[in-house]
Amino acid sequence: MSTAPLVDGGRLVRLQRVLFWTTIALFVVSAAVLTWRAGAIFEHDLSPEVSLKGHVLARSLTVQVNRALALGIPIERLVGMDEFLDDFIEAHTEVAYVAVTNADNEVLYIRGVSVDDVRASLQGHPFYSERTFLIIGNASYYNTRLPLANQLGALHVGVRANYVRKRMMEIGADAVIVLFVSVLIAFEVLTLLISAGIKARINSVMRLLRHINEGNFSYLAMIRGNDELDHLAKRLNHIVTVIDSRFAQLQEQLVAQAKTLPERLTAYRFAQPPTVEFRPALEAIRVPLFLFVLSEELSRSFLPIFARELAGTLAHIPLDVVVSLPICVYMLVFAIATPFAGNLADRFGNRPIFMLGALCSIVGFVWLAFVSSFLQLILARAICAAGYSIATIAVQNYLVSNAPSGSQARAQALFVGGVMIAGMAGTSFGGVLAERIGYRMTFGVGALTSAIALLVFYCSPDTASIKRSGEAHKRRFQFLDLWQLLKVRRFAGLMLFAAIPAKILLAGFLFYLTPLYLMKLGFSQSDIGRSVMMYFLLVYFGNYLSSWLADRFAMRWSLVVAGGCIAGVGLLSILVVPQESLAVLIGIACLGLGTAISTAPMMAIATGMFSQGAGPATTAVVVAVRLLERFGSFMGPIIAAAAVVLAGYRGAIVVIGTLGSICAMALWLSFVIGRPRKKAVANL
Amino acid sequence: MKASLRIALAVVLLQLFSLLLQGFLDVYKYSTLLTDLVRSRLEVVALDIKANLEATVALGLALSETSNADEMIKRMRQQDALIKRIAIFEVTGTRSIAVYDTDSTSVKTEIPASWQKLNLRSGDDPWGLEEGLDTQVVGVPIRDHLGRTIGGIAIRFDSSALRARHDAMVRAMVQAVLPILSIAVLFGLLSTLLLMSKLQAEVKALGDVFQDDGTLLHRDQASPVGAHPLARIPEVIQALAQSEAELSSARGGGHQEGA
Repeated sequence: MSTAPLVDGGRLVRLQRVLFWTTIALFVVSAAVLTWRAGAIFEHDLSPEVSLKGHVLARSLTVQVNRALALGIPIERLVGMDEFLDDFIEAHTEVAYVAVTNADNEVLYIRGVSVDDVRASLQGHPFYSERTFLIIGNASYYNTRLPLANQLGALHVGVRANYVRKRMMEIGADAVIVLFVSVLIAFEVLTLLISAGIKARINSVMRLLRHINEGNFSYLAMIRGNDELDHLAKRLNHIVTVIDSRFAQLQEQLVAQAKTLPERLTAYRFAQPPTVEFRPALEAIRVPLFLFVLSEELSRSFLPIFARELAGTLAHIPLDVVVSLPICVYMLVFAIATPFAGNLADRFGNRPIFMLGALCSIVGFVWLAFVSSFLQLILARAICAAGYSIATIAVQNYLVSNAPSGSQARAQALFVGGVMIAGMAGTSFGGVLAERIGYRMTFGVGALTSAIALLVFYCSPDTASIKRSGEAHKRRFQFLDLWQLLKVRRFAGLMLFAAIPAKILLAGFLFYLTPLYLMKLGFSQSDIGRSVMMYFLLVYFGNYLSSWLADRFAMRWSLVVAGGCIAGVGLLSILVVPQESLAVLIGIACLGLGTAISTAPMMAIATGMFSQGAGPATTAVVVAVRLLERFGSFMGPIIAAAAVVLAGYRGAIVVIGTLGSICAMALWLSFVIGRPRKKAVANL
Repeated sequence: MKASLRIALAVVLLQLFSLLLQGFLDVYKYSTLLTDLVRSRLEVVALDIKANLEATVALGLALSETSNADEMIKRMRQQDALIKRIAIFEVTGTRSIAVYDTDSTSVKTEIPASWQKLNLRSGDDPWGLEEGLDTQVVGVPIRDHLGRTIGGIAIRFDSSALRARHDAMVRAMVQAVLPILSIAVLFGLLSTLLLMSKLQAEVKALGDVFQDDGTLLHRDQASPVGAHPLARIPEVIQALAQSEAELSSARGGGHQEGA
């Protein structure tokens, strides 16, 4: 007799997919309706304000024109009016046109948009009141008409009626970000509920049924909660327990009577007491991980700007270098704390260590919300770095320890996916939040998000009985391993020309230069967040392409070199693209693409170098690579800041881009020169 | 709680989160836009006064010697109902003294320290600050031909009207959100429960075919999951019962033999 599955995995995936798309459809429709309603309310409420401002502007301009007329200059012969009106329009973005008419309503001077149409409209209707709503062509304006001194003529100022609607477009862009974040959160939560809430329960019941079907009554199903699946599991557990008890009593009597077990019972297995079979749902860690990383990423797009505000009072050190310090200290603490965090997780288990990390982050973010000096900012960031390092190591250890054999790659993908999705959501949403509620409140939201991550982690039954990772790893990383690894020339070359430069570019350009430079170029905080998000988006989706290329065409070295070149040369586009902001966006896109195609092959090469023979363990190689990468992340902002001091933002981007490009070329040369014989290459 | 209900509630909570967050950000955007518009309007007024005063200063007169300043600020105050006070102040050493003020009691008194600080720090740009819940200030520095800040203009305005409009906006947004939210929640709840109903029925069917002692209630009934996985339970119970009976009869026989 076979145990037919209660619900097969494919059906659960389909159910999850249908639920997800239904939820997204609801999100999109309701967000669209809300945005449309908000737009209508805004326009109705704010348009009179725009019209009023037009009136004040017209009054201000009239005073100035009257001053010239008072000097006796004829209205037809006012010199430099075009330049004067152009300056005025440039200073007030809501103004579409300005016109001066004479007493016969002839337009003498007019500047702005659609001048011919506006001229015709003003001349054709001489009896405009002080404020008129004009529709000219496809556009509409609030026209303010004020008479000039001595009835010599009139001044018209046209304010765009769609000014509010244009500003509303910003709300539309933010609504898309909110929708995007909501969809990502919905995806994570539904995955948790289906995987840990239903799939894990069904699997638990199915395993018990399989045992029963095999005549094995020595196991019980794990009870996770109090739903109908748990009720079913409880009933089955009760039956198994009753059977085991009856068998135990029978066995006692058999022993007492010195009799052997009857033949009919030897086909079964019993236990007293039966064991609860527990296999944690790995997906249960995704929501706490996502929320935890999200809390950190919220401040990614504005941290240097916030640091600049606090750093204003420091003397002796150039401001740009001072501003880079919080990022450098963060990366340094992160790098130093990682090996210690791993050892702590081994010693005390992943659960308390994750909770310790989350607590550190909460403390750090709360402090950040109230910091009053630059030193406090650095200390608070150091605490956040320690928390991030500790918690992420705990999660990685959890995944490695609990992943079934053969599912290690899936466990790693769960971690990387969670981090990247949180990166995308956090940077964009953090920008929107900072623009609306301010930097400090956004840090407060970060603390709250970390607290929710801690709560979800604490309440999840799947994280409750985490195995200690020490059981999974026989040998931990030691600093001596790093030295041994760096003695291998090709490994050292890979680190020096690929791993470290990649992080210098990331931390120096994306985390440090981009927010400051885009802010200087007039980007709003939301725009900066969206720009930084582009990097995470490209890395997330580019990774799949890169893995496929690397595996299919065995071109790992080429991909690493190409990734470095794309990232470096992309930054150098600032030398040829005239629009600086566009060049920065190209730089971000190239950095994302370059990172996406080079990261996975680089790690595969590094671990592949030592996969055979008596070399160091793969874990030690991975930790060494991560440590060196973090050294690059530490150096990045320092190099960028020094370059800003010497050559300004544009020059700093060129310096970083040149460094990246040179390193990529050096890697290519080291690959060509040090290329092993054909047989060895095949192994790479 | 039932799994289906838990998922339905999660979908509803996610809907709530998404809509309330968006509504919240929209309200913030409205407040920012409204304040920006009002502030920029009053900045135009301040810049007009500044242009007038700087022209006078360029002729070599001191700020306090400007003949039409008092009349100008009084007229401008009357033109905008939001304006509570317009002050023109002069920097003298480390202090800034109001030389013209629509609030006549404040003339020749020192202006608030926060105004002085912002006025000196803002270079040539307008500045602004909030003074409590109901009052805000916008200002512009006055500079001489050498680019030195010699004074400033501050316009204090009533922001309670802005707050009232903000509150009205919140009410309007709540009215807009509620029907959308109700429909979305209802639809989310129903669709999730519908999607989950089949799974729930299968779980229930499995639970309904046996009793707590393991006895199958509907042995002949086609199981929703095909060949029934619990068929081994009655077998083992029967095997245990037979063994217990044998042991009991053996014990009984032994007793009889002993007797």
